Amino acid sequence: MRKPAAVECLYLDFDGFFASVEQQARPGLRGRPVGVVPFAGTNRTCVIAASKEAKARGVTNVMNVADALRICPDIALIPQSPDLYRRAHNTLLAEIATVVPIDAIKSIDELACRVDAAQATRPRAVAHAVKSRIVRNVGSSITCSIGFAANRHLAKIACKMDKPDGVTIWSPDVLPGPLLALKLEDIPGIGRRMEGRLAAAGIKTTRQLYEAQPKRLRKIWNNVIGERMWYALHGYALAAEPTERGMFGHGRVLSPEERTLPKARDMARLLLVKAARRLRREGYLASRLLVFLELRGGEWTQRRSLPAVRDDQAVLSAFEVIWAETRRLPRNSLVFRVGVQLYDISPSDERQTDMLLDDDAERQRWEAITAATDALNSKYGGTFVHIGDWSPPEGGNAGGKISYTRIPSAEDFW
Amino acid sequence: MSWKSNIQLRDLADNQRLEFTCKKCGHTRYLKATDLLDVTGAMYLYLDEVESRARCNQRGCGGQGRLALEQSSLSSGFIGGMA
Repeated sequence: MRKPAAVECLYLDFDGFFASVEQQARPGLRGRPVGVVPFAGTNRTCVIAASKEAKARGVTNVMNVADALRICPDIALIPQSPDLYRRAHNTLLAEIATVVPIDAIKSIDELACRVDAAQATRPRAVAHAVKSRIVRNVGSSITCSIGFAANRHLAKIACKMDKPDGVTIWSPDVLPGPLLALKLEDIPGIGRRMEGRLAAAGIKTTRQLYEAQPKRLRKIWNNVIGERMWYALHGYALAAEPTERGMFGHGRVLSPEERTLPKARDMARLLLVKAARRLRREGYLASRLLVFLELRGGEWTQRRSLPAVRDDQAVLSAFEVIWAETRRLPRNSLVFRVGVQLYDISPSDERQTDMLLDDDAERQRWEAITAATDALNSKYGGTFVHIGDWSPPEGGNAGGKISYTRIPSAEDFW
Repeated sequence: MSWKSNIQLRDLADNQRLEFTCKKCGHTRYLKATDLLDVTGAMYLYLDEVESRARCNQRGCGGQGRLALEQSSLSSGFIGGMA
């Protein structure tokens, strides 16, 4: 494996991304402690993102709203606006890409770039160019921290060293000094459970981890990740392998007034249509459908095979068969969360028809109908044509959730 | 100068989509780079020029909008916490 002699990777992490985008969009919030919450009107939730002013007062991400209000009574609690964050993400990335090409988008607020040989000789100037471009063309409320190192993993660790709005350069000649000063818990990939396993193996410090043999780490991790961690920490040119998509799904925690079975059905159906649209947009077919309910006192899951499909009629028909099974549940069941998954996927140009089903002509007809409805919805920018009822929840955002592995597109909010 | 002043339509990949959001009514639609390139002479336009010429297609609106590049193809997850 190649061991670079200079920095090759830039890792950029936006500071309190959701909160700083809110501050940029609403000048009245600038300079004030801001906490972004999942929805308005209740204290029984948590702060999903805190601004740097709130963090300076002790508020942390995923802190209960009640606790945040206790330590910072004047915090402005703002309901999340996923579509705003998505648009800010696209604009910021377009600006960054004019300075340095983006190699991988790791989440809505983290990305990795590959620096060329000329840029590697002046990393601080590259970081300055990125930051000044953001200030000039997007706004001064959105800041980022940047790390440079020989690989993505080290660059990610480096970028956390000087938050907010910092630049850290870990060129191969300065390592492993600053790395060894860290606690094990500061290294991405070492959670509480892994820390316990390392401790059981006699590894309690980053120096001990660094000096361990790669095969030993593989044994402790019980997979190849341990060995890859060793090579990453030692500055070899290494990055996570591209992940393959395994399923298209959506889940949603229901609001108190939606927690009945009929309302859960409407929500699950809507989420399934949105998942099927994503499946089609990305060019896949699904052969299995899963519907999941989190109920008071337990969970309910049903699966059903599909004949490698992607049209709305096929997935909704299978959904109705699955949902019919809920008649076995008590009528007054309280549903806290619903989830749907289309999985066992294959590329849409590799469809294998079922010789016993003989449904190819029917599938082609429904696919043509679905393609026509998709085209109309795309042309007019919303869900104007659909099969059956379509009643999105108030407040929207169904199917537009931001996760580490998924940044929604505008179509997910339609 | 924003990123839109640096990129011409001919620089975009064929499957690249541009997101157009109307500043007047908020309507969002997608424009395909290949469709835009079919317009005579458009390949040499910079994206800020495309943006200033594009209009909202909602009935009765016709407002100017903002262009954004869709970036989803570069998304990649963490594996075992490693970037």
